[in-house]
Amino acid sequence: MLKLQLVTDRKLYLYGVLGLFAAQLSVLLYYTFQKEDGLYFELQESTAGEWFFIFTFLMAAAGFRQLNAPSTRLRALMLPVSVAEYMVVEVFIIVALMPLVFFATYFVSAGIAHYVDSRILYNGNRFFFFNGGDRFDESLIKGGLTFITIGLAASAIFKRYSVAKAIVAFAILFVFINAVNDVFSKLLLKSLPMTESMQAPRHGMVPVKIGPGNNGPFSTWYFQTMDETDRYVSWYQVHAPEYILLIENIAGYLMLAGLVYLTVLKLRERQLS
Amino acid sequence: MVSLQNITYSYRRGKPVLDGLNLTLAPGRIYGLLGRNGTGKSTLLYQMAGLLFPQSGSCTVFGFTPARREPAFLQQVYVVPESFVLPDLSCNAYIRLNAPFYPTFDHALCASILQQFGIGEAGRLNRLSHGQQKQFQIAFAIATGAKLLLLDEPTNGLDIPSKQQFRKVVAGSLREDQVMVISTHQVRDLDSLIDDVLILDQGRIVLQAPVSRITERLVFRKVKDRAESGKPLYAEEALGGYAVIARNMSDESSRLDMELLFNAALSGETSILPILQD
Repeated sequence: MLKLQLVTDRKLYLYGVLGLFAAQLSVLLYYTFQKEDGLYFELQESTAGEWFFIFTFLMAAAGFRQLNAPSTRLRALMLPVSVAEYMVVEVFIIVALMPLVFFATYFVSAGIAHYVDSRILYNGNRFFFFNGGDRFDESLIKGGLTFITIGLAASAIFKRYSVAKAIVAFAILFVFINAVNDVFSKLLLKSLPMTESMQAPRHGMVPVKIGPGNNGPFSTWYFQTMDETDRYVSWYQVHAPEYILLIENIAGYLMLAGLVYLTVLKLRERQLS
Repeated sequence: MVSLQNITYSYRRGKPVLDGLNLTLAPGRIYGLLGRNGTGKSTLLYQMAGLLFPQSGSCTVFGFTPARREPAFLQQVYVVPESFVLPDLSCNAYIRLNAPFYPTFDHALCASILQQFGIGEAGRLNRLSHGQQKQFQIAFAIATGAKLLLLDEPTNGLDIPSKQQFRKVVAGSLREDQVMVISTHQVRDLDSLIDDVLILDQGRIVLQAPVSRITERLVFRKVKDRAESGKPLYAEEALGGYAVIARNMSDESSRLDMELLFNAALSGETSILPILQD
């Protein structure tokens, strides 16, 4: 089935790879020429990571396109394969083949941009080749897993405009999770005792209470101290409690497992209508 | 054996396309499925293929429930839809990539049918005419060895020699354990091919009868004057006179006029259908 899909959609994949390469090269060259420090290391790191997630997400959201497109869905539905086979093939393409394609196009386009940056513009920036350390690798895997699961679920749930709907669904989910986490963290931070150093006056202001920060899930929390007239005094960053991170992780994995279940369910229920 | 019991299906609430439909199909026979536009012929085929799920009632095909779409079931069923888009592949590549999904695929039979249709295996599918693409699909469908072949308007887009070739290929390739259902408007293309007539109207099968029984009990004639045929069960104007259906009282041999039978069955004429009951 993998062979059938790759051969049948070979032109789509080819155009996709060329489009990806062109987009990567354009953005990296734009940064090279427009940024004051050229294509500096951290910029390369963040660009590569963001592109990887976006690419993975879009590929996953278009994953079951053969079952969705009116011209191919009858043939795809009548192909004697199980839902599990469909899933395995799609996951293999997205998890194993597409990252190879992504890294290959990234290294070529980033290599060209880095050559321009270092040999023509003499910016002297280091070349980023996904050497961001363990933290980067872990976030790449976790983020990739989330994007793939949400993308595939959207592709199975939405028959029409699955990519666009996947983006909207992801945005809603992102806002919802962040909002819940933010409320949760603010409630806990409210009861945080103010230490002596936190109460020390700064810039002529005396901090007397803790104010709200901006807190995303799976991360450190932020809060501020304020004086009596609610003026901001200092920003603080704290590690979220271990049990909170554990709850967030469990909830996150449960959500992903739920989405996988929903994907299988939707594929099994798929009809021609 | 294909069995549909009390099948109901509607695309819109309150407007059932299939409404308590009952149907049983036996192996080794070619069924001609006739019906007006929009009466649900394709919907019925898709129910048997597991492409649409019944909203009530039950459907079993060779012991499988089509809605589950198990691979073992899908290996036994092949649908040739009325319109389709074939991928940008050569005929050879298409066969090479798709045949492994069907354990009983007969490469020699496929090559032989394609040769009869005059389609070269090296040619690209998207450069074939619509009629040739349809012929390719039919050849592939027959070669899969699927026990249930569902053809939706297979002769649409075929030229006259191709229609003749189609009839020859189908008649010569069907095995005793296979069932073929051909949904069509072009009844004249198939009246020499089919074994059983199915007429679908208002969500139900209003007539299911073997051709042999129809011609045994009814006689189809062309007459110049209506009075010539005595008391016909049904008559309609035809070129140079009337086409009539009468009761076959004297073992008269006549060729089934499927179009006439179809018109009679749907005309509201109540005397014909009871005669054809088993």
